[in-house]
Amino acid sequence: MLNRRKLSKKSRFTAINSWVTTVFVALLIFGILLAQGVYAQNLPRDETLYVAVSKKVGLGPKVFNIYTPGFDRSRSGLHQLVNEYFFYVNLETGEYIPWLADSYEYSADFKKITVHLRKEVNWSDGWPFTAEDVVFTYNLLLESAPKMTWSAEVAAWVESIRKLDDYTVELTLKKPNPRFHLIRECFPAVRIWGGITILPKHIWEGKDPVKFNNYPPVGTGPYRLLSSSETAFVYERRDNWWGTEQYGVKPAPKYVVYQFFGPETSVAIGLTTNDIDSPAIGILSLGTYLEVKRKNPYVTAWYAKAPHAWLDPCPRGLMIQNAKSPWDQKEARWAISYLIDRDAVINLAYEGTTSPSWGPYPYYKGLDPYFATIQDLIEKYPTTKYDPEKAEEIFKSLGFNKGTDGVWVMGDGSRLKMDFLVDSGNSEFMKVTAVIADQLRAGGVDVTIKPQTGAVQEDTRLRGDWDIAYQSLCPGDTDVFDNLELFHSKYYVPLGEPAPWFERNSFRYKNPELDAVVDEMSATPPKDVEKMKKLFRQGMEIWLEDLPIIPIVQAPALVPFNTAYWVGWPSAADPWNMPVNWWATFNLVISGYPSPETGEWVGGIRSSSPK
Amino acid sequence: MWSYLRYVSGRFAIFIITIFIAITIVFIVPRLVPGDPLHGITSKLAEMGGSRGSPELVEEYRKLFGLDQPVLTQYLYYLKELSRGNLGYSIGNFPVTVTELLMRSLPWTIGLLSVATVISWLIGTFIGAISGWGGKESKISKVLVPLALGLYTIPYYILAIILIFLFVYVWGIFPISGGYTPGFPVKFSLPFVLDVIKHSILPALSIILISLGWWFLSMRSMIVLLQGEDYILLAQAKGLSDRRILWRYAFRNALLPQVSGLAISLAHIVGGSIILEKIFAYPGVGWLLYNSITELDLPTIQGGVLVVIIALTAANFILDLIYPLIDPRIKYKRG
Repeated sequence: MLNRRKLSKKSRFTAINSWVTTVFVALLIFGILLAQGVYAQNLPRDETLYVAVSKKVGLGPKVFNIYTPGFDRSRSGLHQLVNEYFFYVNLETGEYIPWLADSYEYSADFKKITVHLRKEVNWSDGWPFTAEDVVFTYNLLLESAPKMTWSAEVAAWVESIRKLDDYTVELTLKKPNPRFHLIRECFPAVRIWGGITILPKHIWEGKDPVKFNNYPPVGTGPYRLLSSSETAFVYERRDNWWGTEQYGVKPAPKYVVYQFFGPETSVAIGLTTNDIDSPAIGILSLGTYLEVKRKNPYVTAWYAKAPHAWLDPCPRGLMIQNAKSPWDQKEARWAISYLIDRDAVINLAYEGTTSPSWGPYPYYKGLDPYFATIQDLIEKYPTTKYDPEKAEEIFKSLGFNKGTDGVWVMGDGSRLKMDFLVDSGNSEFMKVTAVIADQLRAGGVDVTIKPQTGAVQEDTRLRGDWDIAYQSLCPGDTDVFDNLELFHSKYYVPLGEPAPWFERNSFRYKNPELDAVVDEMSATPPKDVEKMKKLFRQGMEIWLEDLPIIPIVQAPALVPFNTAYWVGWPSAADPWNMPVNWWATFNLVISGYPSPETGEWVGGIRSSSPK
Repeated sequence: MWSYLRYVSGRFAIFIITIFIAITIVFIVPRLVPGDPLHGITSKLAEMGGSRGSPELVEEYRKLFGLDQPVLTQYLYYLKELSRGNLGYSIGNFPVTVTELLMRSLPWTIGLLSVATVISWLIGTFIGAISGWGGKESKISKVLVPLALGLYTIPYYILAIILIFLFVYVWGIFPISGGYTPGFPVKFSLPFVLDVIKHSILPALSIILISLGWWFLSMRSMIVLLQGEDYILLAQAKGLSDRRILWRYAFRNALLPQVSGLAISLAHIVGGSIILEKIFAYPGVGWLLYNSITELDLPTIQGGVLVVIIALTAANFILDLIYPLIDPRIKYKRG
């Protein structure tokens, strides 16, 4: 046995030694080949803008049909770079910026809208963009309704469309609507996020619009698709873009890449190593962002210091199930509001990046004149106040008594319980839910958190099988009508039936008085500001008294920017645009735009080291 | 020979029955989950702001996918289409078909995971054999056993993050993520292949390092056990060289459970690796399956799980066929 060991050690050593040498030499050759192969063909970093998206694009690299319901127009970069729209709204400045259209006007009865298109605009394959394309798109949507995205909405509003000349179209509506130009589901103008998209007739004619892949996509925008993969979409600047020809302006990045880099850690590393220029919303937490900023001084956000985040247009609220007892009583809803310490929510769940919200609106400058009309109401109805004693007073007035375990007992002898439904796939909502649940428990409410995700969560939420749930309140905008309309009883469905959507009355509130105000608002042109102010005050008085949902905070959008390669990003110091790379308006962040008032070119990002 | 053929036909029948039962279960179970299978569409519409899309649109797609039909009708239609090799359209990824989705992601998954698994298996098995043969007191064992135990217990996603930190952030050698460099012309050329390999090294390394521990430990323990066997002692008594005894006698006998383990691991590959695909943003079937399950995308769940089931049952079937041929100790008789 001793012999065996001596011999075996020697033979093993020889064997291992020759293996190690072979493997080492092979790895060396392989490494040299790798380095040679890769670095030769990367996109030039100083000419490329890298946007990090939060997940993969489901339909993959070969489907660019913007009207397919599952198509992800933001993460693919399509509606920011290839498609363009008639008008863009700059929420920071309140400007309504003409782009593919010059102007629009309504008929006196608001049943017709005439749109004058911009001349000498070409599609990326050289065909002219004309009224034919607009008429074709609307007719396609009308004929295909309801299969194409938003086609049912178009069919609900549009009676017909006709071409008046090559650059003028007239839309006839089924009923008068003075804010048709603001409905993104029916009109190609971008307020928040996106709008319907005009299609090139010469490409789409004769195709099955539901199954057409539209690959490669043809648009009027400043970029064309260069290549696409499972995780990245690469766009190249068009030198014959109409903006360059008409204004002499060229977007600074030659290439733009929309890429899924992986989870928060990977994006943080990418920002630190200057491989990423702008990540999308919801990827980086404040803690990670601050660490990245500490390591890479080129990285910044809307505010260079706290609270760092820009305000997203979807303020957060606590949905409360109005169709269930005791939450069908407004007093009970107010008691819950008084039990919530919003400052604690902001510090614990949001790391101080936002502020309390008194209502369902984002704090945009364009809305300030409306908010000014209800300052006394906001004081009368203190929706942001944390006052547990007041809550106790209300519960007692409702006939509740505190049990020995500290939980309120209602008149019928049952304990005051709440099922708190939360989307477990949403880390922000999970954090907030934990904080609020603790606060409510401290206030004597027996809260059970019900985490669900995906289709199951959607089903539970829409059918109303919950007492409270945290939610974004979209759309939110410069028009006060939209966020009040969410509370209209036309969206009301009984418990057990699916509601139209989470914030579209899944909380099952109805009040005919508020309905009447909202109906009158819908018939009032947004330009009639004085009448709108009056209606807004009437509506908000009802809303604040009833408190159908409980406002919590403004929505923080932490969107970092890297200035190592690209500068000129919009910021609080220079708020010339919205810092959002997932909205169609990002087109204007990249290239800038002509001011609708002066005609002077505004903004646009620039290279940090121009050649 | 006849008994072997009888055995093969019996195993084949079990293979077919298993697949049929699995297909049926995969059809039924997702339908028992509360939730709308059209979530894949409605959630994406809702991302566009405040609405899940018009009820008319939702109902139209419910009809298109046959979800308005009774479950039995759906089942029969599913079997009929399946027999034609048609897995249907994905709901969340319409108008992309399930087959296209699988064909797009499976090559990445199989390419990465099979190479990584085989490399890991080869290294772990051979080093395990050498270490086991040297005994507990050998230097190689003293170093490798604690190392293997350590690697085996680290979750691979933690290791993945450590690898990214070291190789991307600190040394800047490898790309952060993805299957290949964006903008790189996709064609079968040496630069492209090298680019793909370069992107796969970190994900592969995290799999290799973690699974290596298991292969090493299992092979090592087998070899240690075999050292006292009579036929090893006989070989030593005959004066055969140590290397010959290890590789010709001990190693071959210890290999059988390792081969079974490899076959099952390879079959599991088609299910993908969700966390790895997420950390490295690697294209693959794991993420596809995960999304289809959370979205209740019934056709994609059915198609994806079907591939996993076929791979697993086929691996078992093939192993059953091979065992009696490669291991003379295993014999199958009727009754």
